[in-house]
Amino acid sequence: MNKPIRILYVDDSMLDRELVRDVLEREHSGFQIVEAKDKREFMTRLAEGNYDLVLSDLHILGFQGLQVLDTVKAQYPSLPVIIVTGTGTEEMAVEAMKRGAVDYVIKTPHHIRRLPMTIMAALAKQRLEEERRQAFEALQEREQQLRSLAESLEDRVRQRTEALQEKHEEVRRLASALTLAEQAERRRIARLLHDDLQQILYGLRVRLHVLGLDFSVDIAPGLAEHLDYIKESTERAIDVTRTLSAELNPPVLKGEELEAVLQWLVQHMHEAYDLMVHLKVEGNLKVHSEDKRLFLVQLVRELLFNVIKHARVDEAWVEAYSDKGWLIIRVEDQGVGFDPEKVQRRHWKNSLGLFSVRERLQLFGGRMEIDAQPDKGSRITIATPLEREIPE
Amino acid sequence: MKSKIFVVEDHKEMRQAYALLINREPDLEIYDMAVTGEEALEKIESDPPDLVVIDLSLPGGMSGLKLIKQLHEDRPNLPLLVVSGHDDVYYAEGVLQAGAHGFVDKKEAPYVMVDAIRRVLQGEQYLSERMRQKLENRKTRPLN
Repeated sequence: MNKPIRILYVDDSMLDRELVRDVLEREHSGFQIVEAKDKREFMTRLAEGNYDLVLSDLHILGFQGLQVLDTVKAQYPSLPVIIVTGTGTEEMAVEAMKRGAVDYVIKTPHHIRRLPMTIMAALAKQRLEEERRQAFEALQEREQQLRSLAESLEDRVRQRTEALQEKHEEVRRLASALTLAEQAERRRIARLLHDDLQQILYGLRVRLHVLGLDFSVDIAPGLAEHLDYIKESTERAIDVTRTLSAELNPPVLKGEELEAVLQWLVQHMHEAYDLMVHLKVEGNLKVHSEDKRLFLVQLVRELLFNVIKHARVDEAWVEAYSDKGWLIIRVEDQGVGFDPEKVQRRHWKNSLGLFSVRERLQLFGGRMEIDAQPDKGSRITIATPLEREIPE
Repeated sequence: MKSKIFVVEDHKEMRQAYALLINREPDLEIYDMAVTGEEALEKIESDPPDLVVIDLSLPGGMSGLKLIKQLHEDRPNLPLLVVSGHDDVYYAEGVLQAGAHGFVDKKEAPYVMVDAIRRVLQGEQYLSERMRQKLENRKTRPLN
């Protein structure tokens, strides 16, 4: 058995109340009627609460039917109200519906008899309304959940991305600190070689020279041979230390002009390694940072060493120019060439130079292109942003 | 009368070598020496020599190049012979422009040094054959 439907019925006409109660309680057992005949009773009963529906006449002692409607809607917005009246006009009906009445019933025997159906329909409509509202709220809630989920996802992606970028930046800083440290160390060793070791060797050579002048070969036979040997070894030691210190820290790097730096390198490669390098520099290219000049010279030198070691020729071409904000340096030879794919796949020991060139270039936002084929020579192009300095 | 040679050189070994090399020549003598550019300027100002031998890489605030410029400005007729451990044309050009009269690479044989001193004393400009060729190459090297 279902719970009875509790109805608060507000009407000052005893006759009407009986009529309605008769229809609702006697003919349809599912209703339980609580009656109020005036404003005071209505307020008291309403406060007791727990109704499924309110029926109200339009004219009650001390009260207007629409005020009943307003009071109910103010306290229980979802409690349905049906207006029952014997005198109402069409305008009144429209006004009642506007203010939230669920139906409007004329007090004729026919309509009163139909009241149970009207009430059931109002409740069904109310229930549907409630379900729709709940579904809508649930939908809104899900939407809110989804939105915040999406936001938190975005947040997490952003956080991860930031963390990754930070790591990347850190690695880049470390790598460039390492490169700078390496260059500082090179300079230190170059200074040691030049300032200490070479001076001792020069001094030694002058003494050997003076010794040769002061002692006659006649006095000590065989002395000349020893002296020549020592002189020759000293010369060799001087050559070795000079080459080494010049390679570690080329003196020409004090100037900003790339052409002068590359000319020094060309001359150096010719004198020290017998490699003939044809140089072509377009325009007045300047590299302001000494570190970057040293870096570029080291790169080009390594590429030229590759020509000597692997291309097995004694001639190479170096070209430098600027193109759309990039400084381009190209090193070419007509030697035995190689298969770039193979070199990249196998990580050959002797191709390490090329890989370290590429890695170090990336530190400066630069890149490298390898254009080579077996037996057709090789062409390596390196590009660095013109305006960018070494990262501090 | 021996020509008075002043040597500016921060390496002890080289100062001793210059003394041995120069003092055995009948017409030359080491007159005084300095370790830094500042010391050289001070000594030369009070008692000028006939020729100054200058090591290009000097310690302290005054580089060899600055010393050359200063001496040349103070005494345009004082012969200056520059000695360097770097044989780059880049350097040779720079010191000649700054006012030096000769450039000797330390790599050259010791007798070259004595020869260079005598020539600069006679008012000639001195460059070793090697360096002269390098300078020529630099000026005439085609760009491609």
